[in-house]
Amino acid sequence: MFWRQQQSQKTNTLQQHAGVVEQILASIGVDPTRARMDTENGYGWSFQRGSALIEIYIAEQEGREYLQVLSPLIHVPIGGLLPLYRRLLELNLSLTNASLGIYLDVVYVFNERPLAGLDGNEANFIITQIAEYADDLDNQLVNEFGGRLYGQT
Amino acid sequence: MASKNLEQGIQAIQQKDLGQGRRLLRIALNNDPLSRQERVNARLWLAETDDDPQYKIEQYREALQLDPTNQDVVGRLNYWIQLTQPPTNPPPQANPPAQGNQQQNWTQQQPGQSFPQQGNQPFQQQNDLNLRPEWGQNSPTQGNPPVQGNQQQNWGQRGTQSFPQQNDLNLRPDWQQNSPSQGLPPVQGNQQQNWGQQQFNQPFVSQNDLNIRSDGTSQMLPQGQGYQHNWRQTQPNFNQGFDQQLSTQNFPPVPDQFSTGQFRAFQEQPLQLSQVQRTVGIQGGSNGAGTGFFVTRDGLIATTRHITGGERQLGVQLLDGRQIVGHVVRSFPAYDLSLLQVNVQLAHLIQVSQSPAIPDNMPIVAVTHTGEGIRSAKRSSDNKIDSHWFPTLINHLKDAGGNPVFDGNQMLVGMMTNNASRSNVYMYGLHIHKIYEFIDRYIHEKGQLDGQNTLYCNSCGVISRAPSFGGYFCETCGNTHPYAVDIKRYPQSNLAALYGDDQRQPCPDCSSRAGFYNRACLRCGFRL
Repeated sequence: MFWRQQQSQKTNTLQQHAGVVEQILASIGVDPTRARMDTENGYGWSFQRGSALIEIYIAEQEGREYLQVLSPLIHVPIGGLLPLYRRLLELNLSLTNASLGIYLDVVYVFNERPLAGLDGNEANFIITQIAEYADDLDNQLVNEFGGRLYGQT
Repeated sequence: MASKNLEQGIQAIQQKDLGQGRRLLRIALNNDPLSRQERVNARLWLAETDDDPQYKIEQYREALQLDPTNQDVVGRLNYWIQLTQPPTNPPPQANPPAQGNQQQNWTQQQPGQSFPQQGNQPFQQQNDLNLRPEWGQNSPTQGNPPVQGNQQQNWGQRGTQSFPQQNDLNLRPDWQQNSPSQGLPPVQGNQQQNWGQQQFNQPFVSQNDLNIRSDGTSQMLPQGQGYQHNWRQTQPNFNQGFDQQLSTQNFPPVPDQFSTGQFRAFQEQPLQLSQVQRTVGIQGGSNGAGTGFFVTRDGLIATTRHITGGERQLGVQLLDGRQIVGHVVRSFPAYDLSLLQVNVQLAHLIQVSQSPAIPDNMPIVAVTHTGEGIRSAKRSSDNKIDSHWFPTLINHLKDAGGNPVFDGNQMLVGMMTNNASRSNVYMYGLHIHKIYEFIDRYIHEKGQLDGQNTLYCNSCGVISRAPSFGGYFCETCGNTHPYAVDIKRYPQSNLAALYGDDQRQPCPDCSSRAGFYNRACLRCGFRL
């Protein structure tokens, strides 16, 4: 995910797709200007959906552009990682249209699909679904394994 | 209740209208979309509609096929099979597990009086491999070499010295007359090409293989106590939830005597098997029925992990058709090996080959739980294979595997698995010495953990000590133990020792002691 992001280049194509994404965000009630993030390569947006923090990126991989929707869940606890990692893999198998992953010490739930053919309805569905998963999982994981919610003390 | 026919059928039986009840239950079984437990229930009630023991046994067997771990069915089936033993076997001293209003009928039906005799001809030989006559004519058995000293001791209770006869080919009486010699024909030249597919369907074992004492019964499982404190009792009663779903109204009533302790005592007695039992059937696994074989005299059975999967208990079918419950006590997934414990005492075990390796092209026979033998040979291979695996020319098994494999001298050399190489379809066996190595390890672990609160982890196959510390998860694989699945779980920072969190070098960046892989912290990814 992230290495793809790092590999993405600010091409005209990406700019066009960024415009499309901002139109989509606007259509689902998100102010794209306020949501915009600074990224080294590519484009990113961040906003709150319910209690979940949603991050969106567009990236290019092998000539194809992708939309990445992800939500950080928790900071990994200091100890007891084996059962946590196992649980994440078990959850991975049970999630629909979403995956769990770890980057540095943060657990994410994310979805990725090609940008081609994406419309506002589908984007809204993806964002809503990721937000719902995040709402369900973050407290559940912290309560069971410790650690802390993302961005909280 | 999903089926009116089922409900009305049960009511009819309760009102002594057995014919009507039987008719309605059959309609329900044939036509109604019954759940598995409803079908089991229907079979149990059907058994109450006829006094014929064979009819009852048939119904209980049908029920067991639906639910191989149902203790009530196991108890009933074993009781009736016991009753149908020949008069030389006195009846068990226990009350039948049946409904109270049939008590008079039960007590009147004594074995050898009104029950038909089963085919229990006297056991004439200790042999239990049946061979087609034509196979045995050229190769007289040379006898099995005695097992020597130390190796036997190292293998726990494996005892081959007391094997009663050196000749362990079991010939059925009718074959014996036509088949003067035993043993497998030698493989010669291009005949070897045919070994892989050469199979014969004659049963390898007859019903006479078992000489079951009259006091032998099925084992008694710990009853629904949830979590237990002894390794032998640590298997939760997984029928509990299932049982709770059953309406007591729909279950055949159990007499008061059933709970007086007599039946429990009846069931707690270990089965005494005085003859060699080559194979047992393993039922209830997710990959279908398979085969296993006894590896210790106190009822430890070896089979494949492919068969046991994530199950904790499975149905074990003895050669006489009796069903008992086997607990999976240890698995070694990397070797496709699982060990089951049943409450059985054996006088003799299969003789084990002392050879550390199986020569290429050596003829072998894999025996299924139905008694069929698959003749094949050890396949030669240029690939470098770990010595505990041996390639065969078998490309299809009759069941899910776990078959004991015998060499030309009828010595146990290994167990068939469902594993094949990537380059061909021929299956591999696991060498018997590796199996006993793991049995030794299991026995050692069991001794080390004796008295501790442990539990078999059905996910990774180890004996987990987490229950001793109140831990929710297996310390080896992190799987949630059954007793912790449905409870509210909290972080357990006091269990760092159990999960090894206090033994590793702390990460300089996040101070976690999770450990490192490829010099990267398993928690934060910081690279050393």
